[in-house]
Amino acid sequence: MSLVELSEVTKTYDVSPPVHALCGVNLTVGEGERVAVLGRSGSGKSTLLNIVGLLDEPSSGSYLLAGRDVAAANDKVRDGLRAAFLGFVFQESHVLGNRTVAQNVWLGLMASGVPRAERGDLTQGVLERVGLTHRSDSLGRLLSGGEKQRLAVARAVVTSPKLLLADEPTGNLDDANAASILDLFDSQSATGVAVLVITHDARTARWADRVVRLVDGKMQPVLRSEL
Amino acid sequence: MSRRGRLVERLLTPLADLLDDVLVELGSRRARAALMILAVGLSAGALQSSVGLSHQASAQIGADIAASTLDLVSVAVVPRPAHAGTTTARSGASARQILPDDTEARLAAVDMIADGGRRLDVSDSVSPVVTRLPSDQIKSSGNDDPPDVVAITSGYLRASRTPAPSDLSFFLDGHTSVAFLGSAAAEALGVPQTADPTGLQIWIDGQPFDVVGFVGSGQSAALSNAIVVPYAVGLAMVPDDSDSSVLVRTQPGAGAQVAKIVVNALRPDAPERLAVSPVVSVSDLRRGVSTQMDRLAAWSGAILMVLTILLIANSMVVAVMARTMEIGLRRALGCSRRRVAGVFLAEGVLVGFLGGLVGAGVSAVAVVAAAALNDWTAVLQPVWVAMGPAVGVMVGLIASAYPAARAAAISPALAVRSE
Repeated sequence: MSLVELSEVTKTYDVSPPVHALCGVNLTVGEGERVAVLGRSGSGKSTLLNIVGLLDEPSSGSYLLAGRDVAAANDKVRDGLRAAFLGFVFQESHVLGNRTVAQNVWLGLMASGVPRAERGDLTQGVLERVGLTHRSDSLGRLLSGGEKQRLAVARAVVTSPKLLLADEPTGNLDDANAASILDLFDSQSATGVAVLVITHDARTARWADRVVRLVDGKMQPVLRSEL
Repeated sequence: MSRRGRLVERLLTPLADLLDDVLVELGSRRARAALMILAVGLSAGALQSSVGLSHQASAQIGADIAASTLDLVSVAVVPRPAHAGTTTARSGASARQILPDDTEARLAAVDMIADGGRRLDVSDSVSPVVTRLPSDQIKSSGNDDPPDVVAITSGYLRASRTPAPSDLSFFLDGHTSVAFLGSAAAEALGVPQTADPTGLQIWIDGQPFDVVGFVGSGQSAALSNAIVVPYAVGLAMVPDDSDSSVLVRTQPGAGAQVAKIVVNALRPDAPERLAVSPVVSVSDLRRGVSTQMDRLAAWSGAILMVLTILLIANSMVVAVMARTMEIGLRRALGCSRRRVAGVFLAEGVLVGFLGGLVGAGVSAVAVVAAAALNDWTAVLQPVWVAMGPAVGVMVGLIASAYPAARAAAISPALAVRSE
């Protein structure tokens, strides 16, 4: 069974004139699968990520997440599903600069309702996996770009999500740090976590098991040879 | 872990998380937090101390009013009905008199009365012409406010605490044509206010009156523009004593009791002919002063508090805008809108609570200091001081309501794209 099943999903923004961000998109992502979505700016990549990540609702079409129809789910259900199933990594990392590395990781655990007694071990464990144990008490604003992105990954995976959604996760990183992030994704994928990456970076696209392209809101397959 | 323990943890964890969040946020923006706490503190302190000071001042004013008036009772003659007959002489009063001749002696016989005496406003009954010389007319001199002729007994002088030559006040209980002049009256008549007025005379309705002294304005009698003559002399100028009154100074605090018995002491046979000024009106006055001052202070404080609420709300709205990305991140991680709003509400409540504590301290110090500087008795109500944090929490809650609602309304999809 696919973890994510989008069928004929459209998204239209009611502005003047209306913007058709997605036009009949079909997409499936299986457990442990690594999928990259390529596309130029304005092609609908972020809209797709928002819909898959339950941050936005499709205008039409169906969306099954782990077999459950969530296209028209209410706010409370979406909040619960995000906390239980999804992890996010953003291009800008969104690390809170006024909090320590450990406190940033705690944010994810708080939202998921993990008991406080368990949070210390989980935080230390995930920081060890991303190589930030020694920066545990450092403020977020003092981290380098690569460290911030690793912290963002740690915050996303500490709740053991089923699907990791990443928006240009390596866009601001050098080769070494980008490779480090992709390695972390690999380790997640190896445990059955599906990874959906929005990117325009061919390097990241080549890393994925499957690559699709969005052009003007429409999905197109991409051949390996094109990368 | 037991089932009960799990339940407790499930209930307490969100609260502990909320507190953690707020403390971290306040700790990372210490200057802003300190300013907001100070604003609430000063605002709550201003409200509390202004009400406290007002309470203190009104208590002092009330005490002053009580000291000056609660021991005074005024008895007025009730005008005789047109069909009524004459009063019997059994009471010691003549047919044209309601107040007996031995009024002062009757008052002196009452234990709780310290002083008392009669007053007759002659000018209210007739219009005596007062002149400096036999041929003068004071009214023709262009004076719009001619002196009043007031007849009193020496008991009245003492009861009203009117400054006058005490060794000559016995004149007021006799029948000699003498006069004491108030300062304005003396000036209007052109009588020099010398220490020894021997030889000075004024004329009332063509009759000479020797000036024997000058009177000041007492605590309870305005005699500045009066020509004060003996009560018996004044009584002879009017048809009856319907414009007479009795002023009684009681022992401190005995005004209400004396008011109940004084009429019977004066006219046991016709108590309905005398009316006692109700002492309760003085109490109402005291309460009125206190209430109005409290309201004034409360309104001033409330306006200050509204300004503080707007100040904090503005600061928090700015914070919401600055934390848009963070709000989006929290929503992406699974936080509900209610939880996001809760972060800002909790911040407002905590700031308000701490500010309220500061305010309680500020108000307590202000009240005690003001009392010390003004020689007042400090009126510090513990309950009111303890309300400081509660007032602060209310301010924080109101101030953070709109920013919290605004934060909760932020679209997570847009918020995660902002930096």
